[in-house]
Amino acid sequence: MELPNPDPRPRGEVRELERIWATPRGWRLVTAVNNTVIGLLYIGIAFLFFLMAGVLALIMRAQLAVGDSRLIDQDLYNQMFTVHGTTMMFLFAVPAVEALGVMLLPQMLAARDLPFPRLSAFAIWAYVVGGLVFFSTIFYDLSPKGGWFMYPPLTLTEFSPGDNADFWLLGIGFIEISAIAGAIEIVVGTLRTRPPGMSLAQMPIFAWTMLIFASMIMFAFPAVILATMMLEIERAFGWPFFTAALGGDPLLWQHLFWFFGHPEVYIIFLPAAGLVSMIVPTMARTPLVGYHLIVVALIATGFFSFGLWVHHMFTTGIPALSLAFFSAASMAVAVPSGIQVFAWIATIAAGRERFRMMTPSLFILGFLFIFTLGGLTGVMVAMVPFDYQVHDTYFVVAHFHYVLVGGFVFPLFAAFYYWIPLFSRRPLSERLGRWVFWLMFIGFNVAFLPMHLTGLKGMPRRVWTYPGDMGWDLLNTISTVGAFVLGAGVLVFLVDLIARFRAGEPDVENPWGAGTLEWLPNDVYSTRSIPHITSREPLWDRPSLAREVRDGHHYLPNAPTGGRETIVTSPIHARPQYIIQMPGPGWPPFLAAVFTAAFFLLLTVKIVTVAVVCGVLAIAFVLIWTWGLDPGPSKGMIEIAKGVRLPTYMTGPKSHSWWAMVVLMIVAGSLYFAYVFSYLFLWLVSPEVWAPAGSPAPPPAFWPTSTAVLLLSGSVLIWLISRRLGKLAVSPFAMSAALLLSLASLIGALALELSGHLMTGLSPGDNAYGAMVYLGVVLFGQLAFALTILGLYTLARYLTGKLDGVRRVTFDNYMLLYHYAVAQSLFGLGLVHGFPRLIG
Amino acid sequence: MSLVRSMAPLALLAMHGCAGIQSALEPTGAEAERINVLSWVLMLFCAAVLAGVCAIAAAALFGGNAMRARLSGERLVIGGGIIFPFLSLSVLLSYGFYLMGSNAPVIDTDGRLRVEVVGERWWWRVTYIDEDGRRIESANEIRLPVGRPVEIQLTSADVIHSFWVPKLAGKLDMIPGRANSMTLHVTEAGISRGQCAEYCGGPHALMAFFVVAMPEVEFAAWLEREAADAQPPSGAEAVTGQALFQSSGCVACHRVRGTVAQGTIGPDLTHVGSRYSLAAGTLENDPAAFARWIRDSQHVKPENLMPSFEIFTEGELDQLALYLDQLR
Amino acid sequence: MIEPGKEAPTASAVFFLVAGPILWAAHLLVVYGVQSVTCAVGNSAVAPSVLIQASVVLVTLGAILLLCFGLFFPGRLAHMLGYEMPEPHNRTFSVRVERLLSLLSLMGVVWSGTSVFLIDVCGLLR
Repeated sequence: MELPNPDPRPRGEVRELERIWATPRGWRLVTAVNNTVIGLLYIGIAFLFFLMAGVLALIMRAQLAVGDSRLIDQDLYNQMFTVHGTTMMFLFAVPAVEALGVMLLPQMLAARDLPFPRLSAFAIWAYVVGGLVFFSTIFYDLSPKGGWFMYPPLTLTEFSPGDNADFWLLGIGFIEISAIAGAIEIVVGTLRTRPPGMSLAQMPIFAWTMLIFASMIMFAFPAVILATMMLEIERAFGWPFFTAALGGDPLLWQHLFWFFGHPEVYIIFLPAAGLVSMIVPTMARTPLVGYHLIVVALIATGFFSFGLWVHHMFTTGIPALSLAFFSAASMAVAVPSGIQVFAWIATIAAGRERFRMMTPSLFILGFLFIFTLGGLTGVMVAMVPFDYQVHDTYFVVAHFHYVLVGGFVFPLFAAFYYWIPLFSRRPLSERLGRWVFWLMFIGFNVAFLPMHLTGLKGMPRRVWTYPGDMGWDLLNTISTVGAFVLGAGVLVFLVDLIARFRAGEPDVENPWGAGTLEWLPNDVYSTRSIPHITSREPLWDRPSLAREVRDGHHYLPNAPTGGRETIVTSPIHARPQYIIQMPGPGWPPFLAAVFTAAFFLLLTVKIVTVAVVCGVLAIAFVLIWTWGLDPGPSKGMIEIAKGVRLPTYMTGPKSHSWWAMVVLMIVAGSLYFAYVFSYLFLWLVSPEVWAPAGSPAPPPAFWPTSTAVLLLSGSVLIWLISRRLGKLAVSPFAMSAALLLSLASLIGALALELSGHLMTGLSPGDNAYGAMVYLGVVLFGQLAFALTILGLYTLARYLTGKLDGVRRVTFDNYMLLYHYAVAQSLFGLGLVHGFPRLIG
Repeated sequence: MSLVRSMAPLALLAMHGCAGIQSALEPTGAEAERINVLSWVLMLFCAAVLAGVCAIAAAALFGGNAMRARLSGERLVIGGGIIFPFLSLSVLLSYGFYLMGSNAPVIDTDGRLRVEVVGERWWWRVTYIDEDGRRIESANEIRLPVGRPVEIQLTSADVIHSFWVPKLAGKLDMIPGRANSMTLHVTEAGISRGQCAEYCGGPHALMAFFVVAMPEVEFAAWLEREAADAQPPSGAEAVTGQALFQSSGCVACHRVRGTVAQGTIGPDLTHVGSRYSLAAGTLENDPAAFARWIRDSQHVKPENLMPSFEIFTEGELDQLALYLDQLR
Repeated sequence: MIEPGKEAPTASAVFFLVAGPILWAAHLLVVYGVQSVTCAVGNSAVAPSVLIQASVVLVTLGAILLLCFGLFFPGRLAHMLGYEMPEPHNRTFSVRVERLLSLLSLMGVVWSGTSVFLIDVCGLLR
């Protein structure tokens, strides 16, 4: 292969890179946005939550060690299991996965950073502040106690007064924000910032899993976002979405929650499987057997996991045939897991030398055993009649701990041991590592294997105590002993980590002799030059690659724009398209995150005025941070390799910003889909409260028609602006007026829609129908609010000369979201005004 | 005579302890028996697959070169990961579908006896409806005839609960606004314990009940007694207890049929003395337990909706307990 | 060495690769939706059991046919979706992924489709 930059590089380029990518020092460290720095913070905080939620688990195990125990009281126990579950799922597992993505993905793709560094920083800081406050509620008796699944009506104000349940909604709010932000980051990162030549068929499996992870978040999280919105609205304002007496239905929550909640398990597991698929080939010193089979398994799991949600509802009294459909889907999802397990075993067998038994390998083998068992008990609970018995018992507790601890925590520890040499001057101790593994492995199995039997013997979940003469004592005592052994293993790891982990450049490059790009010589700027990729294990297939990359013989060996930048490539074949200029350290993301956290927290404890001030400040800092983006084409074309020149600016469907907006629109679309589902679901459950028979008929056709006309004319206006933008013939005044007019027609449409319903005398608190109608208005209002800010911001940029026919990313974003809002609202008009007429 | 015999299972239980009384692995009901067979099939299947996977993994790790070479291709992945799961899961799934299909409600449940169970925080309101449409209310204990399928209708008064008697059948949720129903078909006389299986807040752990299965004839006799009004107290102490019960606010929530006590918020106490437990399976049923419950209910079962009555003297508590104990 | 960044639309590639699972999802949505709505509304002119059984069988057969098309004629499917794959390496990979996913989806569709023959259409069966 001919090198992209065969000639020797001028001196000083590396120093320039170091200066540009330098990490801020001292207390300015919080302004850092580089993926390795914030990624480390991210994973550290996630691990802290793992430890704290683990301590809660140990306390609960101590309480359950014997029957009739009164070590801790009922109320505290109920808070503890809620916080344990919520923290493990939302504050540990998902953030830990995203943290691994943030830390490892750019390294594996030899990108300088993720495409939206400040967005990552914002999401992480919001999570840190919000998560810590949420967890601390356990210390002052303010924790939620409705379980991590928060089923209404138990969580409605009538049965859960006080702010406790609202703190749960807060905690979830944060993870929703950071998960969506992370999804945007990761989708655009994996599809657009791969090194030149790395086609989809050559992506490291971890990148595949992160891509699928992010795609699943796009479709799964909106359901729970809508559900939490509805629950909070019902708690605060009494709109009866879940109150059966007024036409609501508690089962609606379960559908929405598990439509998120089941994929959530795979959202956590798939990236862990990706880690395993990275480590196994290295330890076996051979490429993965069945790469395409694994890709197939990952995609299939991603899809099938969305068809399982009802298997959390087998005992709710849904018709048997419905259960059968979901039982079949639950079987289908077992197949891809089997494919992966056998692919890893085949890879282990394929190595010419034997599998290296280092600490990561031990954790991988432990994972294989535990996860296989968890998968098999998963097949058991997928059998509907069996689930009638074991649902909500300790059998299920055992099952999902096998799946989640086996499927996520063990691979995560393998990943710690495997990748820490990338970030620490010294690796962890191999000798202590063996202790950690065996304590954890034995402790885990001693704790959770007996629980299968405890459950079959009739012990339900979520009980703070049990009678001492039921035959459950011995099993529970064994489980408690095992839990503490597991805890001891984690403690040894922690000691080793504190003793040996020192952030900085490692002594040894590529200590495992791995084949993927993250083991290239690294610095704060990632790799010196971005390699051209022709195979899945470039370091194995081209031994000289590390030297070539370090000597700057591949792409972009310098910083031609004088700032942070990386190459954007095409999504399928990774052909270089343009250079993205990225922002460096700054206060706005940090401050915006802190004020966002403050906004939600203060709202939870109902200090509304200060909360609103914080919310405004949060938005202000977001605007300040985005103001410096969109640099325009001022840097022209630059040379990234001999004879290869790329633009430094891109607009339209090829730009990363357009892609991010498309992802956001998909998220909004699935949120709206969840709304449509809820509307039809509640109608099916309570047709008697629906208009026109059970509620005031919707306003006369004149109202929705006028709304539709306003919306469509807004869209036409946007289309006209888009065509005329930057044309000399258009006066700035006309352009500004057109922008403002587009906003006005949007807000006018919103006002018309709202007043039309108010006029009919329908009130959101009346019944489920009223609540759903006004929820539609709320969803429209949200988009209108976002568009108002974005529209005024666009106008401001236009007036300050930062927006023209070429430099138009801001306007493009406004345009995309505007058209989306119009489409969604037109659909909504059809549903809310058309459906009652259809059935009436 | 019949009373003695109907209590025989209780005596048996006392001798053997409670272990297994709530175990799905020791079924005495038709559905639980079917599921128990399924459980064992599944457990053996899973154990075999796990052993197989471990053996193959061990061969891949430690086997000879020829063995490892055989395992190293995509053939293993396709055979073990696609073909084997497809075949074995097809069989299992068909078995599951067959079991679900065979679970159709038995026709002869209609009309003869129905039991309505309402989940309340944190106890069970039980109403028997016999073939004449007579409604007989009780609480926290269900008696059933052996060998006859009985329809159980499940609803909730507040939050979601779940009705589960592992020895008899799988669980079914009680959801506000929805009515679920299932058939219990007990095959063997004896006692089993049930418990709320859906977290319902506060003392969810302390929301249990007993199911007493009796031969048909005894059941009929028992139902007649249960339908009758409460027996008047006998002895001066118990009479004083009744007066205390009626003057201290108890009647606002509890009903004792045939007396002025007509509250409906809490459990019906007409025959509370004959039940196997107090406070939804939380305490054994004896006079001492009554006294403890009245004085200390918030400690025995925190957050339950009956306040602790600390107004009574020890003597008064004994009188109340005696009265309640006599309500058999 | 570097051609200008022209390639097939990403959406075409995505729809081609996951055509099987999309069909699986559509199948599940339709059979579950038809069955739930019919049982809940319960006032249709036709007996619900006939309506549900007929529609589940039809939808399942349709899904099987489409999946078999994807399984046996990947080239034509790619062409229909506007996904041109000039590079042999990428073509091999894409086609293998698409066919295997169709195969797995076929299993799922067959599994849920058969249930209608063994289980009463609306009963709770408890």
